[in-house]
Amino acid sequence: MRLISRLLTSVAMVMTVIISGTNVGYGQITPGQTAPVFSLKDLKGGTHDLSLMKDQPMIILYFFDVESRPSQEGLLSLDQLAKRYEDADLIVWGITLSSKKKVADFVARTNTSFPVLLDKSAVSDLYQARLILPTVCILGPELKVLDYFQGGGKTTEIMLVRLAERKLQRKQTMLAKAISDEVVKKNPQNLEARTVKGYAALKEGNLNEAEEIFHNLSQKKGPAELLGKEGLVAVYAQKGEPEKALVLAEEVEQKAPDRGYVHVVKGDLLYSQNKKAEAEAEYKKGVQKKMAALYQKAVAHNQLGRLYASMGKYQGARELYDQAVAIDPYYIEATSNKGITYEKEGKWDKALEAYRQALVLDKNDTFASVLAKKAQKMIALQKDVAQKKRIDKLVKELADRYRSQKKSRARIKDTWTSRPMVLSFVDFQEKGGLAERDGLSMVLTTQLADQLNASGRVQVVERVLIERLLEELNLGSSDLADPETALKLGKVLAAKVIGTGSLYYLPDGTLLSLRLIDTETSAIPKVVTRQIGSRASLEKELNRLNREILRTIILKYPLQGYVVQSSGDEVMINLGSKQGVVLGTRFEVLEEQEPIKYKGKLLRSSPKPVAQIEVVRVEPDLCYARILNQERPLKTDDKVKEKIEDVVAMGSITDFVTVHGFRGSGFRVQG
Amino acid sequence: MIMIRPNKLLILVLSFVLIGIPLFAETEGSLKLYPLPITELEGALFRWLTHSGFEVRRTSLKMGQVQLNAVKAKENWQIFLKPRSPLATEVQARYSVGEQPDEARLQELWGYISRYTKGPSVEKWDAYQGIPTAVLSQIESVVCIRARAKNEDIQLSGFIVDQDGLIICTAHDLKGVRDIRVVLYDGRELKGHLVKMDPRRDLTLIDTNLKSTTFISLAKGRNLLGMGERLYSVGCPVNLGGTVHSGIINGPPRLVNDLPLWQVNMQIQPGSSGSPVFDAQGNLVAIVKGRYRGTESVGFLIPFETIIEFVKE
Repeated sequence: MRLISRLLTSVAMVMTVIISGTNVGYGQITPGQTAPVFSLKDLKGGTHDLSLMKDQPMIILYFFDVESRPSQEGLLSLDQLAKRYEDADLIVWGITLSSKKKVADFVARTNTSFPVLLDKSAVSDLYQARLILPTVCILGPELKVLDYFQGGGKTTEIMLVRLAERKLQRKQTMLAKAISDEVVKKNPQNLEARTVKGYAALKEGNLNEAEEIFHNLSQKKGPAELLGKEGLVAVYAQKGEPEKALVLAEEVEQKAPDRGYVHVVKGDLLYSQNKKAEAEAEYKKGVQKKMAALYQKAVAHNQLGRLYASMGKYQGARELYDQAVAIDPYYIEATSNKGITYEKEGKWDKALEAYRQALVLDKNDTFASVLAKKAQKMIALQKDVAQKKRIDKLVKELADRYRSQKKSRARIKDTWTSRPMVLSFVDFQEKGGLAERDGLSMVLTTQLADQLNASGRVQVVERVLIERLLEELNLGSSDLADPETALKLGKVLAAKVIGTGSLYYLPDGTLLSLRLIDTETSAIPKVVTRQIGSRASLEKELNRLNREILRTIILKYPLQGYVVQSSGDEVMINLGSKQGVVLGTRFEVLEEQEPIKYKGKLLRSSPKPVAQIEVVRVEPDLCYARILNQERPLKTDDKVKEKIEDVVAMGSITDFVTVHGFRGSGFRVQG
Repeated sequence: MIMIRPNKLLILVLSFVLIGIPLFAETEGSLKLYPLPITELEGALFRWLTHSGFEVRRTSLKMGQVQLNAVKAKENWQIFLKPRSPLATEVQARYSVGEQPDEARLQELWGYISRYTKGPSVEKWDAYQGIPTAVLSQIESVVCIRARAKNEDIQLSGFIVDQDGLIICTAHDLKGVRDIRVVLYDGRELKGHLVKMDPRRDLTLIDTNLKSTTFISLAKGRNLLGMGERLYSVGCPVNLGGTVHSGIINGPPRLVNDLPLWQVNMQIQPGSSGSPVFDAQGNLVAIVKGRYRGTESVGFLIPFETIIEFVKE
């Protein structure tokens, strides 16, 4: 009876697996296919369902026998790494046909951190993992099979090297290096592992470490020399030593005409020297040549795609990006680059799809999330007929005004009171090398616009309006390089300040030069130059830029207004949220000084501050401020001017202050 | 006598209850002001809380104020953010487990925000890259120059260019000076004699009786610099000898009085004028002329070619 029930259970399990498997029977598991899903239990009875793991960027299925040491070797190596690097994001499921008791002994003995799942036979059969053990299946996003390995010993080594490469693709350089070290420890002759370590160091920006690794390889004979020298070409290029890199590249090319990556580095160098045709030829060689690691092949396809995109060959670029992602499913750059080609063709829904795919790879990717948000906005706009009409009408008016150069504003009687601070970004000029990722200028300006708008102090002209206006005026990015054109554009958009500049792609990062230009005086109140290093967080850089722009605006264009009325310890000011007043904004109340007559000349001195006030309530057109201190009672028509607190004005982000003297009075929500 | 109708009275009472009750009563010292825009601080706190496993609920209050409520099992955070100008934010927080407040966790929050506020900036990232050894090795050839002009003490930087103790520096501060003193890297002070001055090129040659084994060779200079190239100046601003600043060429060369000047994004302080400027390989590429008025980070450099013309003439 018990035998029958066990048999039935087994049959039921096999049926479940066959039914739930996605178009897979008992055939060979091949990279590129979707992995058949299953559900198994661990020792404690916990269920592990593969279909629920679709959103995981990587999962390793490790089929093994608890009694065979060679079949456990790879699993134990991975276990050690996972224990050493808690943030490793290494998900491994051990799967075995061994009995529950033996598995319990194994777990007790090895104290493995991975779940060991008990298989009766169905899953092992499905993955062709009954006869040869270990069988290792590395799954990527959406449960796509990336790699499939069978056998221990040498195969385990190959599996670990491939895993290190995959970690390098995911920019988990520390883990890539650790896995490479693990391989080299067991087999010091493993050249691929050493090479992966070198490229991981290079990606981290540790040029000295990378140089040392590749230099050591280059001193050996045979394939090691070539791998080492190819790596050194990449190091020199990143160090900003192009001549040295090109000389060594020639040598590698002659000795190993089949190696591809050296052409990619050459292509990058030639592109930065503005030799685009030569760069294209090199990228093409990089794509065609067979000898290259997967992560290198993917870069070759991406760079050629970027070049095509820059020439407006969007379809060709997309094909290359697709190939790059097929080779390296973790290639977030190529994934979002594809979206940008759609965006340039106005196909926003397809662009959004690409950005969402990029976000599956890394949900915290600032680049992809900014681009996705923008695409969503554009899709919504396309559906919103009224809004579209409004923009069309506005664009037409602005284009007419641009062509005729009519002044947009009527003369205003009150010259003291501030008008809203309107800022308009004009896309940055991109110079230097060919960035692996397209659209940095767009991401920077979009994100900065959002942050500045959120501050309440600055209103940034809608990007869609500028884009449509440029389209209407038939102005391209090269026209905007002319500051006069940018200024004219700023004026018709009624912007007080325009933000423009350049992005200079250097081998080890990007140099951003942002200029704020006053549209009325053509003065440049602020120039910010920042190096966005390959390791620096884009989000942090954007936050810093946002602070610097806000600080400049407040210091150079302080809000000015009048006291409308004064009662007790509170005054009403003729400035509100429309003009950029926020809670806590401080003003000085100013008193004009009588000019002094001296030798027939009138000498005017600066107005004298007679009080300090702080905003406690804000309405659209006015605000109320409490009086912090005063030399005389305040009255209607007293002038006020925004005053930034010293600690903030200094821009010293190294300081923070505790509010002293705050004692238990509680904090009131301003109602 | 003022009569208040019952419904008005109710509204009044409710107003006091809703508006007047302090959010966090008796929370001495838990209110802090940070020089960060409210959106940035909110984002940082949101990440910190979600990373620690909390579920965060955000409530938008009037006039840009925000309240974050975060819950994880019995743990509970209440954080209230209020803008204090567009660039600063007041933060008030309360943490409790069950109903029990925990001061230590509150300190963790303040610690996190202050670490964030001080966080690794680009400058620190650059510093991490380190100053090239080739540049550091030139420090001993840099000198501080002091002089008296009318009623004023003057101080600038310069550098030794040969084994006989010839020194090059800028000229703009040295018109009509007397008593030139040269302070070496090791603190020795020597008398200097003006040999040659070119106000147009803004360069001066000073002689000392020094026999020096360390000097910056003009034969190893470099002329053509690229946009975006990283440079290093070594000088004695505000009398601090051997101070290294790094910067980047951020503008095309400008012609001033028919002479080229490089624009750099580099910290330049009083006394920096005359500092030698090197590339990453330690080659002399320029000399600091000065800074753009009103800023400390936009500077101008006299290129190497002008130094050579001056010496040759």
